[in-house]
Amino acid sequence: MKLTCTVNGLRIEATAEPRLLLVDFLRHQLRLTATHVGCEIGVCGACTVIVDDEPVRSCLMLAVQADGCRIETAESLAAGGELSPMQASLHAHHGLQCGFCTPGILMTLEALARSGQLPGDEDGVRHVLGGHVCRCTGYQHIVDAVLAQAR
Amino acid sequence: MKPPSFAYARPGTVAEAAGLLAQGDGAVLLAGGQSLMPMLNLRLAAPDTVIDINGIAGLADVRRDDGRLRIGAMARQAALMRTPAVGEALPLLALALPHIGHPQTRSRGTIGGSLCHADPAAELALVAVAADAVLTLLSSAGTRTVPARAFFLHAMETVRAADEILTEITFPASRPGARCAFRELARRHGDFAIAAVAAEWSPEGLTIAVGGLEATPRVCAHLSRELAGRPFEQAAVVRLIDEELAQTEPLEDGVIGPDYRLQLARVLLNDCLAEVLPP
Ligand SMILES: Cc1cc2nc3c(=O)[nH]c(=O)nc-3n(C[C@@H](O)[C@H](O)[C@H](O)COP(=O)(O)OP(=O)(O)OC[C@H]3O[C@@H](n4cnc5c(N)ncnc54)[C@H](O)[C@@H]3O)c2cc1C
Ligand code: FES
Ligand code: FES
Repeated sequence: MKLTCTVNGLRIEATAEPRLLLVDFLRHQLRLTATHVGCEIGVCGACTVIVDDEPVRSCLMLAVQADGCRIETAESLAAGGELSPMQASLHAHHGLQCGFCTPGILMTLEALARSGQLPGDEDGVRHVLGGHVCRCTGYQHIVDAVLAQAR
Repeated sequence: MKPPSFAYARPGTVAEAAGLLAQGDGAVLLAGGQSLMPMLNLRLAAPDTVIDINGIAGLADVRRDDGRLRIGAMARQAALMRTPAVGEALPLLALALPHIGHPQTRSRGTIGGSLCHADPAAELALVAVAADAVLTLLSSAGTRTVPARAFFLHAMETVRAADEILTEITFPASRPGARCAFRELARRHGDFAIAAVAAEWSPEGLTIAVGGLEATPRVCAHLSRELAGRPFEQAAVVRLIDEELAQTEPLEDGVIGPDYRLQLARVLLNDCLAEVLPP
């Protein structure tokens, strides 16, 4: 099937089999490998991207459903090679180790920050991070990085 | 894993979707995909055709209508959280929404998908039953309405026929002066509830319901009747909760046993009653 969408500001025309997941379309067809695949059942959050301004699990969307949509991945963040403020904050607070979960977390935070829904309190931040699994950090340093940014 | 292959259709109208659905048993509707897509990825579902209803205009509207709130089946959980009419007319629904999954699943997950999926622990099923909502089902043969209290048959099983589309959920608005409570316990925030309780008290009456405990949400008729118009009085509440729970058949899922679930229901019922009943 044919689909037309915008990915990180670029217009993309492509064809995809109906069963192709959006995350696999991004990674394999467009070679945008910042978006990771973990569980493929919506639980781990590694595949989170922004679709029409909302944070979305790209393992739970078909590529053909992205027809007409605006998609943003972590590749869009360090525009011009400069870390985004949230990326810089994660870096400064040691908010990542292996980095597997990081692109998904960044896209959730980016979407919430843009719509003014980024919580400024620890409980709220932990609630948001509840949609992401991180095996390395124990979350505390991610929470610190987000709180520093939210203030 | 990846989904098995299927044909994909994206109808523009409900009538068109109903026509496609009527063509055969192998078709399935795709709403928010937050339950269906994991099942496809795990190959627990293998439909011939996936009918994507995300492109149908007007299926996600929220309208106030003469003391009722009518919510289109495709209204996203995140959108409902941002809709002021929901908080005004249905505080119980507003309290329940943040418990469903995560911001990243609520952005796609719909109210209709949750009701049709019929997970025993689904917050929306509990609220629809507690608030006595009415569901509108449409097929190429016509439409019918079913009260939420008669919709759920068993875990993941409803009275919806294979060729029917849930189009709208109609809630009677909360009574003036109502007090609502919603509490649940899950292993982590965003997980399905082990048990959840929804309660609404007003000078005219009390409705309290429990989800996750049994295969379908239960309206606690005995409790609701006996405690209407009465203040919170601990000894009586404990006795009535035990009488109500004696009639239940708690779920056993291999991880959490019936005794634990019952105890949790007991505590959550008590806490919700303490919150809504007059002191
Ligand atoms: C990580 C994670 C956590 C979650 N946590 C919770 C939770 O705590 N509580 C909870 O309740 N849910 C939870 N869910 C599931 C919830 O997010 C789903 O939104 C919901 O169960 C299904 O809604 P959907 O719109 O995504 O439907 P879909 O997945 O698209 O569809 C579900 C089923 O309903 C049918 N269907 C959908 N719409 C209609 C319609 N209009 N008419 C007829 N049939 C229809 C589909 O054919 C399918 O069989 C979670 C999901 C994930 C991935
Ligand atoms: S890969 Fe999508 S949530 Fe885990
Ligand atoms: S940094 Fe390794 S999973 Fe989060």
